[in-house]
Amino acid sequence: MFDFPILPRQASTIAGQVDVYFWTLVWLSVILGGTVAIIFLFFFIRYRRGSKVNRTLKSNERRERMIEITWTVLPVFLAIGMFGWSTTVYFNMIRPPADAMEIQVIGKQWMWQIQHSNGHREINELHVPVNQPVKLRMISQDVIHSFFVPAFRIKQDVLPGRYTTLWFNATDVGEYHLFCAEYCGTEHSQMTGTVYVMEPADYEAWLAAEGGTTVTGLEGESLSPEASGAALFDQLGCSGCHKPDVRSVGPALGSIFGTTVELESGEVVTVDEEYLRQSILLPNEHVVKGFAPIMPTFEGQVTEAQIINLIAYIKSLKNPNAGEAPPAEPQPAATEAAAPVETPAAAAEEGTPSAEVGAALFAKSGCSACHSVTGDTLVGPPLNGAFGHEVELESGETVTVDEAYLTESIFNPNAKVVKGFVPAMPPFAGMLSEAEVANIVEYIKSLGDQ
Amino acid sequence: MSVVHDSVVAHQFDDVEQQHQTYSFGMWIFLVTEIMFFGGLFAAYTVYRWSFPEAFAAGSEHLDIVLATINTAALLTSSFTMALAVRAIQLNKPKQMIGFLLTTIGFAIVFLVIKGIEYYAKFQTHLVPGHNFVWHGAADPRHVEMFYGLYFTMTALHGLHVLIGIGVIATIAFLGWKKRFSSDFYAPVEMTGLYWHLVDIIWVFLFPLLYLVSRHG
Amino acid sequence: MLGTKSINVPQKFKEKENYLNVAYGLKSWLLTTDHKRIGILYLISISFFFTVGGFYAMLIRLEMLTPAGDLLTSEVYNRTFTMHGITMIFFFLVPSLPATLGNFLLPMMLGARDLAFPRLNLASWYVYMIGALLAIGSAAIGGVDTGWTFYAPYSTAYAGGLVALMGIGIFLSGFSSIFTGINFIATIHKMRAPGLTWFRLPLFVWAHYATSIIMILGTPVVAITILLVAVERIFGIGIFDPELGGDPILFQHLFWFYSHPAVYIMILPGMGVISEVITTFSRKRIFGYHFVAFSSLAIAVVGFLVWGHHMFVSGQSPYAGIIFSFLTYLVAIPSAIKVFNWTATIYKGNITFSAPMIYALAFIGLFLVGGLTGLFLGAIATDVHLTDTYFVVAHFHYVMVGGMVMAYLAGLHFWWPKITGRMYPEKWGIAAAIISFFGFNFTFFPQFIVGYLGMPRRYHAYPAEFQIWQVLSTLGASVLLVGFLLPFFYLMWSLWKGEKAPDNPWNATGLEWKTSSPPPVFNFDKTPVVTEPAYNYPDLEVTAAESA
Repeated sequence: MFDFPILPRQASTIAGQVDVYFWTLVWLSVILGGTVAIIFLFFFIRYRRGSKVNRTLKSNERRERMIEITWTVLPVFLAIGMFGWSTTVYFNMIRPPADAMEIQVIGKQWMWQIQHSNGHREINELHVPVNQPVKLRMISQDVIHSFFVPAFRIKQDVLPGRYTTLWFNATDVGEYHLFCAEYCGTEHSQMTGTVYVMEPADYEAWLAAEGGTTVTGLEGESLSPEASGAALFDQLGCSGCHKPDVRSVGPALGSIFGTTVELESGEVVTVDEEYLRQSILLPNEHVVKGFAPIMPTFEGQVTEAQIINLIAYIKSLKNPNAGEAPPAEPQPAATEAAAPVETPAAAAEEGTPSAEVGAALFAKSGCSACHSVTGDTLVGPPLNGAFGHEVELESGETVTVDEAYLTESIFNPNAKVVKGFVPAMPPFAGMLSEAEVANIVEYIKSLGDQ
Repeated sequence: MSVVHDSVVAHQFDDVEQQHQTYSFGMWIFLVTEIMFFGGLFAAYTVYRWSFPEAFAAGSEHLDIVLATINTAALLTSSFTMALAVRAIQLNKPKQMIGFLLTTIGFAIVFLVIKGIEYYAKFQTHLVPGHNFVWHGAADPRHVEMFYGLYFTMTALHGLHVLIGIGVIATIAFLGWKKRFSSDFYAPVEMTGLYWHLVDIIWVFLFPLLYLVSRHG
Repeated sequence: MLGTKSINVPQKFKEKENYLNVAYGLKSWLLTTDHKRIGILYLISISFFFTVGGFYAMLIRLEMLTPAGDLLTSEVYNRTFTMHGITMIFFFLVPSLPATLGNFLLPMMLGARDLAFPRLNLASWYVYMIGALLAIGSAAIGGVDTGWTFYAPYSTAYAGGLVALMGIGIFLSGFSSIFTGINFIATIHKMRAPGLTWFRLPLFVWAHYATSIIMILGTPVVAITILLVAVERIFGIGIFDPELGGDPILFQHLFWFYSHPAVYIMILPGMGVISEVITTFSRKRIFGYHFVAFSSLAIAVVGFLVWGHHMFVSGQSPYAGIIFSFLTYLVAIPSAIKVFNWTATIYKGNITFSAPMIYALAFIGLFLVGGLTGLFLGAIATDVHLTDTYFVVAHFHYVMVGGMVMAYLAGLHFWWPKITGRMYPEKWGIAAAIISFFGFNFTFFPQFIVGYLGMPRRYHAYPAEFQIWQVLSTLGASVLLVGFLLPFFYLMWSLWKGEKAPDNPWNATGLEWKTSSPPPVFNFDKTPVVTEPAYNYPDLEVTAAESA
């Protein structure tokens, strides 16, 4: 009990700034507050009943008002000054440098799960190199927690449902307390850990060594987050609708990270971690323009850790059809992948519709993702042998599959949905010209029974 | 001002005028608290509607606008009859006042019955949040469930206020039948009127926010 | 209700009829509409709940003596600090001064016979009692472990226990605040005695006016928040549930929208008391009456604009945080103005060191620390480090206990003769004030230190290096306990053995002192007419010369 510190250690670049502010405020409080207290006490004693002192009061209303105004206005200026200074320090606290290394944190009752960029994982411990900006991307699996390292003077609530971030640059090698600082249930007091700040060489050695747990593949090999994410991507069926290079049922995901996309609502968003995470868990609120809101949710099927790995994988995907994607600028690559790629459109504009041209368009437009031409029932009905036959619609009506019906189904697919299928096909109005659609219809016609 | 019985003026007041003014004033302050109370719900609604516009539009479409319009008409009319009741007692016509009060109650009951029908229909179509909830449409089911959560909470709380209002109006009608009110003393009737108008105004906000989200033109 | 009943008064009570002896028996108390009796009912109730809350505090301090969580299990400790907070805030602090002294004195200070709505007043006590008993009862059969702040989604989707029941108890007793607020505002506006203009009102009345505004505007918002939590738990309608796209931060906004102004409900009446006590015991008018009056209103208004300073690290937008920080700095200014004005008031005064005055002195010192440490928390740069640590715990105890409870005790002693007709033993009063002052500092100052070191709040197991500060804090708490117990004993004693009080033992200005102690049922034999400003103490040189 008697081996105790009085002041917390300063171990980050921001700690010094916070402490200067803190101690200035302490001294200001002591001096100003102390002065008032001393004056009050002084008057209290000096003017006690029975003391023989001068009590003549020349009360002058104007002078009193001036005094009032002075001791109102001066504190206001002081307050604004102190506020301004604090805000400057705060901006430093929330703006991570560009070269910050990112580490993922998942808080859950009642432990901290930490994952480094190479997949290396730790529980209730965080190893970092000294003098290196570190940015934590954090999320909770359940209730609100808070990541608090007193020696760094940083704290940030960790929320369920969205990422929050925190950055620091540790300046002193050593071990520091990590606390959960938002009451989170029974074992809140036990949700503590240690931050280990190491020399860069030691950190590299630690990262490469056996310590901590990593994600393992089927043969026991260690998987990086990207590889683990790739495996999940296939396992969960994402690859069924999302290709890296071409528009399919869903948008192409290659080189999409960091670009901006337009949504169905007209809003333009940046494809960042938060957007990807939302799209996995609550997919149909922010759908990319030109796509139908049909993506199933993976809520309950993926943990936050798995989402982190999926995002890592998506970030690593490249689209060979797109150029190098400069981040956060209006990006042709995203829309290129979604829009029809060059076809012999000129030829298709004039002259007769061509099944060959239509076949190429059929592939490029992603139709084959939902419509088999070999008789399989996928998301949509098989198209081989469909032309000329009658089909029953969801409404009970019967129609003949002729050019008009096929054309309508491409431009406005959900007007006449075949019975037993969901109204999930995206409309191609505005995406394909009438001539292009005529080619596709020609192609479908050419698909006999097989 | 005619002579009033002393018993009409409570002991803490100097005269009936002070009493009347104070009762009204107190009622207005209470109405402010009611606005703050519903205000929290309106704030939650605003936040989520801004975040989930499609889901709110989709959810709103499935509400019965015909029934709700009838309800709106009923409530607005009931406010009118309530005002007529206050007017009647100001003109020293207690029997007329009672008539208008009972009419007001009638419209309020219509409102609650229709509300009950709406709720039942929602239950049948699996749009009650919780285990019952099923959604097949385009918008995200969870956000639509949020819409319905707000729908039920806001309308149920409002309905509770309507129910309480019926009780209060009935009590006033009863006291009126006991000849407690006259043009010299009718502050409680006026206070009841104020309460009822607030209940009506809250509905006037609820109706477009809940039922008219996606209906344009 | 009208007129007085004639009953057989026992011979030994040869005193003038007053509100205490006009009728006896449980019914005359439980069905009273006399604002003075209702004030006494509240006094008894809140004293009871203060004891309950204090009991929980003792458990906390005992547990915190050692770094291991060894006295109480985590479950039990979490429920303990939750109940300590709920009891102290909702069932003691929020009603305390307004419902006891406010109820008792407001009509008298206004020259009125009663509050505007006496039956509403009685109803307010009943809803308070029913709500509080429901809450304490639910604590007895298991309780909750959410903390008094019951953040979602823990409180809505994860916490076991009786959250909804506890919530309903708090919800009900919230109506007590609303009824009291309505009553006070209506009374102050409509029932002032002839000649009693707004700027002749005692500052105690201004303080309660500002408090009442906060009560009626803020309480309904926490009421709907509690309702939404209960609805989510009972019916599964998840307004705050992230799984439905709900936002747990919305909960925090709604919660703190009330709970920040609530702290001004808890301090403003105390500041009103200090204005009365300091003027009386310096025999001087208040310095800067208008500034003090308007500062109460300023605190009420600006106090509604700063709630986000509880949420700087919550994940809210940094720009929102900056605005809240700016406004928080501004809201400190009116409080500072009050302190400056009180200091200027005692300048060249003629000061009596009575128990209320010593309590007021203690208030000034402790409120200075509490208020100034608020600035550390209003500045985001330091708040990031300090929030959710013991620093915050120390800060709010300094203002709420060191400030409010001291002011409450000052007021209780000051008006004790008026309320009971008895004088309390002066020396015991002064001793209790001094013991409380030292015990309080001993208890809570170490918590600033351990908070800055980084010890989080709501931990019962903690790193060993923090222990010394926790031990000091517990030692201080045992001294504070004595300081708080003493008034209980000697005030009760004074009811039987205390010296009979004259109408105006302090020679104070104010209409309440112009009637008997205890007052008659309708306060005044004749409605007073006011012709003088407030605190119209005669010039001191004249007094000094006369007394020489």
